[in-house]
Amino acid sequence: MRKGLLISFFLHVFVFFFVMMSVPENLFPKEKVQTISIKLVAAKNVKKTTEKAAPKKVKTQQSAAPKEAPKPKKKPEPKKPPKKAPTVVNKIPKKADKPTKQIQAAEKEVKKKEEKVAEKKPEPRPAKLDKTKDKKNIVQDNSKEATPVEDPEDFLKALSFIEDLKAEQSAMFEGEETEKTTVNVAEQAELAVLKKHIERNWYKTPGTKFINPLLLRLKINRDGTLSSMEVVESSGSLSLDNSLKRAVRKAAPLPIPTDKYDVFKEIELYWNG
Amino acid sequence: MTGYKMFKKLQFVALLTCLVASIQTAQAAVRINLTDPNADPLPTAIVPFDGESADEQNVGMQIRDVIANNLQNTGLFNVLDPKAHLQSRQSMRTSGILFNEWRLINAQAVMTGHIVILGMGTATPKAQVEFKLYDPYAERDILAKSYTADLRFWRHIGHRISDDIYTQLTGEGGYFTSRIVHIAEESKNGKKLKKLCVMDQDGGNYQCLTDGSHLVLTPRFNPNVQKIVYMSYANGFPRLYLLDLPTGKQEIVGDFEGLNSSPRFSPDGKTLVMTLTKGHAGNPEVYSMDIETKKLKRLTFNRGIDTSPSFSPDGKKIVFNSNRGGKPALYIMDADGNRVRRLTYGQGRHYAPVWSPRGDLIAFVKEYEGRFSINVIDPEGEETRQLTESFLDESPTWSPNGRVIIFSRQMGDSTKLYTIDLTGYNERQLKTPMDASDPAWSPLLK
Repeated sequence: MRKGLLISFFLHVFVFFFVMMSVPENLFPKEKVQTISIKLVAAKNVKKTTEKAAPKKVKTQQSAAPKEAPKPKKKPEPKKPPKKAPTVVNKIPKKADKPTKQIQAAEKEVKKKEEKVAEKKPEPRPAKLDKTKDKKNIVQDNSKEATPVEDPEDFLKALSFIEDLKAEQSAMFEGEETEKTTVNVAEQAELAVLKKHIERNWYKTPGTKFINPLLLRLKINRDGTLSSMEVVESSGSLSLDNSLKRAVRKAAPLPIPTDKYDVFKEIELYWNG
Repeated sequence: MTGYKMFKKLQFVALLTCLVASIQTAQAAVRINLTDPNADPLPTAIVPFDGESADEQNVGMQIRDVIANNLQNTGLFNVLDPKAHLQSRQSMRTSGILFNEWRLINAQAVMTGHIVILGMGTATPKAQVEFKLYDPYAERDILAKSYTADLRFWRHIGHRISDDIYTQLTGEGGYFTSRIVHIAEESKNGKKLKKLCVMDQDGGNYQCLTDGSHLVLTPRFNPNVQKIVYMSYANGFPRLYLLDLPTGKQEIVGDFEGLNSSPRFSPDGKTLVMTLTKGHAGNPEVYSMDIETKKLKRLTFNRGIDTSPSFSPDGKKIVFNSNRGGKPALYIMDADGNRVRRLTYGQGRHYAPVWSPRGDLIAFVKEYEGRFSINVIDPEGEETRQLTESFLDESPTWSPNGRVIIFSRQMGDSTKLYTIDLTGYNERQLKTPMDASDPAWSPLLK
């Protein structure tokens, strides 16, 4: 009898700790603190990111070419194994420049944003900062060249991106309520980027009759390429299901942070009219 | 006893472990709620049909243009200029479709095809057209079909293929293999002649059925597009006539006293609804008539004006226009005239209701403060949406798939036909050789 009680006691203690350790925060939701990270960047620097993002875009177009998550920069164009297509095709991207110019321009913009968000992520602090009640945390990263700005106008320009950042952050928080995820606030940013990236690639016929919600499950490789894709719940329209699949294929490789692969290795896409 | 307790405890522990485990698995996949897809027109490549001879390539190009024009006009597709296609005809012949080259120009779907003209030089050469639709991202074909028809009907083949592609990519039924009947207006020697004319949905195959010697109005197709019912003053009085298209034979529906107007077929084509003023002191009432037996049934009994009946696609209900509530508004009743309820309230006068073939909306004309607009409302009357507005927008009629509305718009002296998507976007003029009004869209041709 005693022994039983003892075992029971230890088991309870064990289970209690086990639960406490493993239950994610979402069971005990923390207060959401809106952090607005401010990054001090020289105006030149801002321009640079924009420019560098441009050539990279063409790769995404080239189907399966694996991509090094958000900080690719120095890579030129070369060695990219295309999915199944013949190798000859690989040289052609230049030709495509004209017809896809608009798209590139659009996607360039996004890349820009992506990189901003990505750059401020890597340092581990945000998680801690969340607990503080401060409305603003001034996080200074980007140690490379935080050179002072000479031209005051340029300085203003350099600051202007903060507005974008704010808008993006608030957009993230809006989206958060509908997103049933177990990721923390830091990862919301990456999710928002991912969401936008897929939505932009998803040509959905407007005004069609809504039948059922659509749920698509993706398994992602470490380099962001697609490992598998499965329709978990069909929308009732094969055309719609296919259009989302096409979007994912077009969007691949997906911009997932390499250091958080475990969080992003499996993604569910949900459309509810 | 203790054994039982232990069992209970263990059960509890097991339960908790399960719970924790389930939380762990729920954590495995992150979910993204997609809310804002790209609403831009779908970039689509329609490659000219390939053929051996110059004639074949020529017809192939024309069919290709019919398809491209159809898709482009929907506003849902962005048909890529053939000059932008990276893969040449030669390359296509030798190595088949190279998906990567189509992805590079962002084509979401690619149609390629081949045409053979059989019996060239004989009296009735035939065109045999086969095509495939590819998904360059999935790297496979998603549709493959072939059509053979009299070469004279090459446009028809183009419309068929357009419908196939449209349906495959949007999930909705197509509407390109259809015709539009309307009243064409021509000025001759200072006199305005009104003729009954029909054309393909894209304005092709234009043809007039009457010579304009009598005033004609409100033509409507029957469901198998073999008959047209319309109103004419051929014998000096407003009467309804039935025109049989294959034979060209015309017969009067019934010589009823007073005004005979606003006819429309039931979805099964067996019944005709119309407005008659016979026998009740010139007060218009809605009647239905069995076309076989010519038996007449009165559906409305009201001192107000009741007119413009239109069946729901299941044939169970009729929406009509009445001023019984003080001003013209829309009402819905059962097909036998029972259970009348009011559908529209609010500002302005509401006219000319037409039930969508899809069943989910009713289009109508609203007049408010001297402006006319085309509106749609759901049959429950919960949501109204205004699609157009001008000095005079009239006579809405639905595409066979319930996606597009054609209406007539008067600007100054001339009246033209316009189309608009039910989302309210993509308004464009439908070119006709003469002024045109009173359009009616046919169901899909078989």
